[in-house]
Amino acid sequence: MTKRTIVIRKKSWLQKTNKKRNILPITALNSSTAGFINPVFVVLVAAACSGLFYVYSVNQTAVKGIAIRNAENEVLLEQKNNESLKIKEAELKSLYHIEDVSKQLNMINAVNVKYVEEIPAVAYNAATR
Amino acid sequence: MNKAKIIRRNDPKQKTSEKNWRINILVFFIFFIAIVVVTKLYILQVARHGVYAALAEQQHGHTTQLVAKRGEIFLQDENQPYPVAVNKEMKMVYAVQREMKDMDSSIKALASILGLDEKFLQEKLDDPTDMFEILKNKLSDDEVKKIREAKIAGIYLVGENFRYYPAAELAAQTIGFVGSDGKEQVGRYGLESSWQDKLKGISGMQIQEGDSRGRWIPVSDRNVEAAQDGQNLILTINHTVQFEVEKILKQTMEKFSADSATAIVVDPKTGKILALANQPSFNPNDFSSTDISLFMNPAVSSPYESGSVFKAFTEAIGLDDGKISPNTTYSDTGTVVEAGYSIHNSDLKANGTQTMTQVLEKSLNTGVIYIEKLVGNKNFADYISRFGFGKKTGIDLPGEVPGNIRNLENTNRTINFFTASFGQGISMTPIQLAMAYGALANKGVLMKPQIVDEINYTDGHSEKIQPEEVRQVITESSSKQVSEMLRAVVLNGHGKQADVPGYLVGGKTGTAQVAKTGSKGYEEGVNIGSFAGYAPTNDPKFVIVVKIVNPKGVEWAETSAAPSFGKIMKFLLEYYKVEPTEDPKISPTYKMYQAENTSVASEVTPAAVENAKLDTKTKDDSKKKK
Repeated sequence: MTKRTIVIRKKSWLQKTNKKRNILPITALNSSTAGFINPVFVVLVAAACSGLFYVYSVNQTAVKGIAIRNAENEVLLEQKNNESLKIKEAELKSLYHIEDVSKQLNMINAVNVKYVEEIPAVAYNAATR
Repeated sequence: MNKAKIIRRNDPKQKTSEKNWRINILVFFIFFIAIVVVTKLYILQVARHGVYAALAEQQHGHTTQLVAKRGEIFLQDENQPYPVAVNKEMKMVYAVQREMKDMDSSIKALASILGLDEKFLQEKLDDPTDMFEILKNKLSDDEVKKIREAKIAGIYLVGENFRYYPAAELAAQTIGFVGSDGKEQVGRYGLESSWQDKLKGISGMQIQEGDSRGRWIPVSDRNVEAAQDGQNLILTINHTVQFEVEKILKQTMEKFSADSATAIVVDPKTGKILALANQPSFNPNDFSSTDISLFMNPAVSSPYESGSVFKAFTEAIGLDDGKISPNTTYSDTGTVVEAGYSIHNSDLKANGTQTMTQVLEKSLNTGVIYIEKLVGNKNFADYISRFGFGKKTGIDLPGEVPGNIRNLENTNRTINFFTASFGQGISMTPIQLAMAYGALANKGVLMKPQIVDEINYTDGHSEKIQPEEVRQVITESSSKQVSEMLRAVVLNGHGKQADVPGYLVGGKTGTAQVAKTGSKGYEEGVNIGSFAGYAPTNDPKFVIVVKIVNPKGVEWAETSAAPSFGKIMKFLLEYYKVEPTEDPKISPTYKMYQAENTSVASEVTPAAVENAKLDTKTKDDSKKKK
């Protein structure tokens, strides 16, 4: 009787133990790296991240490229405007043009021009003497 | 298993040979295929490489010509060079018919904006199968603005590069213009033509592979040969001086209803040309509607018998050869007879004993014949040649002619030398005359005329052109003596109207007959008035030659060319701030200039000023109303 009792206890202990064992996750139990992140998962995440980073950087480059192109176009336009203004300036500075305008304004030639001698504020000559 | 063992055991050789046969066939087949492939590859890659490479190049290669920017031309100006020939982008308007919606209203709007006839536009846009139709080139800023504002469907603007001349007719014959030779835009006439190679630059090339739609393949190789822009030229011509000279010439032309006029201003020490003006001129922006005869530059292309302005050289030759001095005398009988011809003085008078200075003052033909006789025919011809007559001066302008001194080749024909001594029977261009007078002014040294002062290269460096001496023609002392004699001509002789009060101005008049074209003799009632000289005669800074062709109502250059010379010289001396050295009251033109000033001043009455103000105000008001 005593022997039988012992066997039963053993069984109940085993059952309890098995119950405890069932609580633990199977992967943790089976894996030799229990407690670490699965490397496949790491690779997938890294690939996804680098993919996203690549898309982001390509996008940024494209955006910068467009900005540079716009700036270049703007520079080109400004250069053209500048050239156009230089030509306009030359047209306005043309003495034939100035004469035409002065005639339209009923202007006449100056006669008996008298030049005013500019006297400097500092007496340079006196100082050198 | 047992059965197999039995077969193997019974006929092993037969099985092996069957297996080998199959392998051999397979191997042979593989080798055959390989040989075929290799052969084909050899044909494609090696034997017919050139053909396929060319084919691929044709299909995929895109070659774009990179056009070089044409160099620009500038004149000297006070602060910075003034651009006279520039590149300007102007708009062209074109229509894509199939994109146009309401054709009638579009045509009406276009006709109104572009100033074109509606029927003309209707005919142009009549064919809907046309891909596009150019409507108008070189649109004005106003037209471009209106086209943009109208937003007509199927109407587009595109930029085109054109040569543009902001100062329009200023120095037109000297600058020239750019026109098409059927293939490309090239310089026509003037500096645009003579400096074509340096101005046009070198075109570049870009070669890149493209796809089937003609788009560039970004990752493919690109071969770029950058275009080298043309070089910019800065001329010796001064903007203000050129304008003033043109203005004075125009006034003279109008006053005497002359056919044409030319004036050249040269710095005698360097040979730099400060102004080279011709009238009538033309607008190079609109050369297609200009008479082609105006494109020529008479200053370098129209030789003429200069007449008495040449007497200064005969005097200089006599002085330099030691045959005469300014005070040497001779007896003027009024006529010289040679080889059956009688040569008279222009006033048909016999003046008796005259000095060599008086010969120049009174412009006596018999006097210069006397000098020529003393010098001798061969010696005289050599001197003429050394002054640069009969040879091109080498100015950087197209169409220069050397003039004609062939009459002096035969030294036995003395009559030719007699007439040449007073500028008849030999011809020269105004530029030759100006440079030869430059030699008289520049201590006897003949300079090469210089019209380009500086070349600016695209890499930023610039090259200053140095003045070039041609030769010493006469001695410095002879030059000084001639200068004093020329001063005497302006003070006491026929050149009085060329004087500028306060300055030592020297020069000589010349009224030349015009040789008939195609026959011997001279045209009746046609003459060319010239005045050549320089100032100040003790330190010459400006040489001027003025030539007035066929002035009406005047007989002598004293009245036509000399006053123009005086006005130009007065302007130059004042503009370049040359200090006066003489008492202005002794000048023959002192009273004339005083009277002019008074008459102009009298026009400026307070009432006239008020009227001018009112006129201006009325104009402003009307503008505001508009």
